[in-house]
Amino acid sequence: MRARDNPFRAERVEALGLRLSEGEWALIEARWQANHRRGAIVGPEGTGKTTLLDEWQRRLTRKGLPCFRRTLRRGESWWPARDVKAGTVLLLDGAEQLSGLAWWHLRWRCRRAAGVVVTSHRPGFLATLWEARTTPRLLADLVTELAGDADPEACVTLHGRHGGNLRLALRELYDGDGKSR
Amino acid sequence: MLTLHVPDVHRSVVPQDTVQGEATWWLDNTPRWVEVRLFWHTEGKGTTDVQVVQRQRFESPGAHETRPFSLTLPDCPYSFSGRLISLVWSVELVCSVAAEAAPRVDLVMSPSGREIRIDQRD
Repeated sequence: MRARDNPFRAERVEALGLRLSEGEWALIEARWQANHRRGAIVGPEGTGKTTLLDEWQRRLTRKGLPCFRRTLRRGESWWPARDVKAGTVLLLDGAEQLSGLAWWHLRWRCRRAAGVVVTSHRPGFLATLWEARTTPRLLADLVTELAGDADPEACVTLHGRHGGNLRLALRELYDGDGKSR
Repeated sequence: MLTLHVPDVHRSVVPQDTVQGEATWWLDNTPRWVEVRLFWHTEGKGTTDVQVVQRQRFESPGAHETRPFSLTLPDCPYSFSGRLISLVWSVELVCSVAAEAAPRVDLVMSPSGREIRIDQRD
């Protein structure tokens, strides 16, 4: 099968939308407002934290709020945050990589930011706005959207084998030449 | 609304060929700019790479128009597909106003005019 025909190719996986209801969004945003517009999306790898951050950025942009987006590279434990201007919302992906000193520096740097949202593998940075979790049912829904159908039992096995990491689960399906199993 | 028309004869091309077609837009407001872009991108298991090779910007666009375009392909890279990655050439129409997805037409570019397949065993 050609890469461009594989239903689990990266372009299609990246285009998968977030599975949050408007009610859940309202809850997240209410928590954010209640915590002085500071908060964290927490969860293990491959559970949709970055996807949620992408959608949040779109929502803020539609409301006319200027955003500054930054993704920390693996091992990047220090970030000076010089480009974050007052009145801007900082969206930071990968905050768990910052050292304690770097995190303190970042909070000081962003004291005049209009808001801060970070993603992290663990809680403790800011108030937890949302705990990202996945289920075999969610995996089956995504597989169905990508490939047209999904074997529920196979999705349970696949979900467990990858510890809930949907990115890895979908990548395994790519290697299966696009067969949902 | 944005639409792109590229005749079939221009969809399988060789290096240095010219791709010709028509771009049509029908918008609520006059756009600041409208342009057609020739680019290649990868699809497959890894992250997507994109390279815009040529752009043709239409001067003083109105809110409703159809205009011809002509773009020249470079020497490489060729269109190819394997199991892990495909390289695809495309033309797309974008403008400063429209929020809808940019219409896109895929092309095949190689010395033979056919996609090079590296996923098939001899």
